Amino acid sequence: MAHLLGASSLKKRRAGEEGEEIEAAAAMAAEEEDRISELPEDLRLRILTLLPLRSAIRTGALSTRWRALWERRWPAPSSMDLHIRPGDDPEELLRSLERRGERRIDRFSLTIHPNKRPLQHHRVRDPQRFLDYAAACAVEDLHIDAAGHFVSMLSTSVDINELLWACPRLQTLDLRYCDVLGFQGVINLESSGAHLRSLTVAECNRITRLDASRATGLRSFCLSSAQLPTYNIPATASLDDLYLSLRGQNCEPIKHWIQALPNLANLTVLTICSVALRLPSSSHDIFVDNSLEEAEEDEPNEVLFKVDNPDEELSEDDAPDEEGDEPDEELSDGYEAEEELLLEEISEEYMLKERLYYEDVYEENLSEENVPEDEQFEEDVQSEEDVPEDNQSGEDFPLYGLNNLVFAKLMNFKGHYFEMRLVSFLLRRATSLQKLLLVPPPVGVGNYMEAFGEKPLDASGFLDTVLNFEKASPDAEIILSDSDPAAIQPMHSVVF
Amino acid sequence: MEVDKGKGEAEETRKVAEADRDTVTLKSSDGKLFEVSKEAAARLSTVLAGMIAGGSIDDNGTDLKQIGSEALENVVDYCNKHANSIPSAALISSSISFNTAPFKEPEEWERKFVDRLSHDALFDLVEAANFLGMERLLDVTCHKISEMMKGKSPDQIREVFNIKNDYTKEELEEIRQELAWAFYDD
Repeated sequence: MAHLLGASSLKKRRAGEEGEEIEAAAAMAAEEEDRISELPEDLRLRILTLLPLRSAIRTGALSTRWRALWERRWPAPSSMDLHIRPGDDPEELLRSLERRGERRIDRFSLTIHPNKRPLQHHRVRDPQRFLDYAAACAVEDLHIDAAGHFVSMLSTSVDINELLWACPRLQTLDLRYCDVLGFQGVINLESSGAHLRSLTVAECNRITRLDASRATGLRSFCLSSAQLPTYNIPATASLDDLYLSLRGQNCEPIKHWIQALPNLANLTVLTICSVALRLPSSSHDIFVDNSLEEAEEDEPNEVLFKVDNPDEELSEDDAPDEEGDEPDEELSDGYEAEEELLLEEISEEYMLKERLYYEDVYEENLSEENVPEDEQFEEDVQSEEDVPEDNQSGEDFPLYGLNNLVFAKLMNFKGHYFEMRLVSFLLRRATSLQKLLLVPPPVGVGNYMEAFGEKPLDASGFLDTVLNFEKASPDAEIILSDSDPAAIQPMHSVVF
Repeated sequence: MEVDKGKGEAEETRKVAEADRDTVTLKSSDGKLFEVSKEAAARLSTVLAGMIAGGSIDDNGTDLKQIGSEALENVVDYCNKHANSIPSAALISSSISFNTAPFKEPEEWERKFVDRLSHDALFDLVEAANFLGMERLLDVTCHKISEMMKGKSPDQIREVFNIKNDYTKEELEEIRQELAWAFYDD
């Protein structure tokens, strides 16, 4: 080494006299020495790491000193996508990870595929070791998809919180179908703080609380659960993307299971599934509403979700943000009125009937929202505020801005009471609406209606009603569609 | 220009080395002295940081027998520029440790810094950075070298770096067949 460096510095001086300004590209040609092959192997690997794979592979043909060296390079933005399938030996995988060493990993994805024959356990005895490895490599994007098999395969020793403390650089956390994670169902993301950009917790039904109160940089938030976990995300987080699907029954009295969401002025995609439109005075909290819609908005709007206590209904309001400095007050005013209104409007009998429907709704597929990708969208879900039959108190509510809503789509549309109210609201408020797409549930899914002595869904019946609704936008086209037009691609392509 | 500045500082060093405790004096293999800010040296070089912490810094010039004067000049120059261009706090907080910090594209001044180097000077600097444990400088110099290899055929790379092809025809053909797709021209 010493010899090498000394020799080269002499040569360097000679080159320097000829002119420091010479471009490296020009100077390199005249040299006779093979400096690059003389470099220590780790430096050559470092260089190969910076090359695209194709260029790196080509170096294998340079000389015998380069043969297969590229195979040991570690790609700079390293990504590891591990799949454990039935029959795989996790120990073997772990050994290969050990051989790799604790070099930095940007993205670590662990997918544990379900075993079709559950009696033959392919046991991943210690999944924590995989996650610890990812943490040791300072992972930025962590994805865990256990396909719902965490319960059977994994012991409760998986401590996601401990893991998160070990991942200070974490930017993305994506947990899917992981049942046992975190202490007492609480995931604490305090440690990740401002680095955290994207948080997805889907169908992790043991999780009761998600605390990301310091994740001020959060841009994407997806929470999907059959339960009703509480969450805490900072009010200053400026979300681009929000997906909420909370459809379970909340057995425990949780004070506020949905908090006011943060600033949604930058929101471009919003999907809400099966949220709200609750029936008050029922013994369980029932959340129905398979309605989803999207809007194109040029002006930033604010969508707020707020529930004062679990015995009141959930309301989702879209308040014009620019002048609304105190949306909370505005909302709560509207709220009480809404509650009263709802109690008045719904008879006991009606509720019972609806409830049967809704409980079945849970079993169905979730709604999904489709939005053209080239447009900016904001969705507004409005519940309980407007009653099509009589608008006795409609004037008392603040007019929420739906002026930019161009396209709305409601999936699994069955024409029931609350859905019709939602449609009515949209039609009356959305002054620029061009298309309202109502997609009925697929044939065969609606069998529950027959089971309860109801006739199968008669689409034409509610379509007539819908067509008679007052329309703020005279050009609005109402389409009842069985199929999903190919032109409308889902923005949230994955639906939990 | 940068080189001149480096030389000037080296001469300064002889006069003020004993008095100025904020700097470290480094001595090249051929006996030239260079002065570099103690803070920048400790921050950018794990080896110098260790020496400073361990008290093995010689006020009369810490011997770096493995590094020639021109390479050391570039190292010192890089440290000085780095100290001027990047707030140290941001740099420190952004890298948990050198081994796990993500590779960041060289900045404009860093590109210029390595672009002006001759072929040999570049490799001298890589080796010096490696010896001194200067991860960032290694990133920048290795990036430069990788740029010189990128998109080139093996023949072109051999030409640029004077690599002697010691494969037999059969071996070479075997390698090309193994991963033929990588050898197709775009």
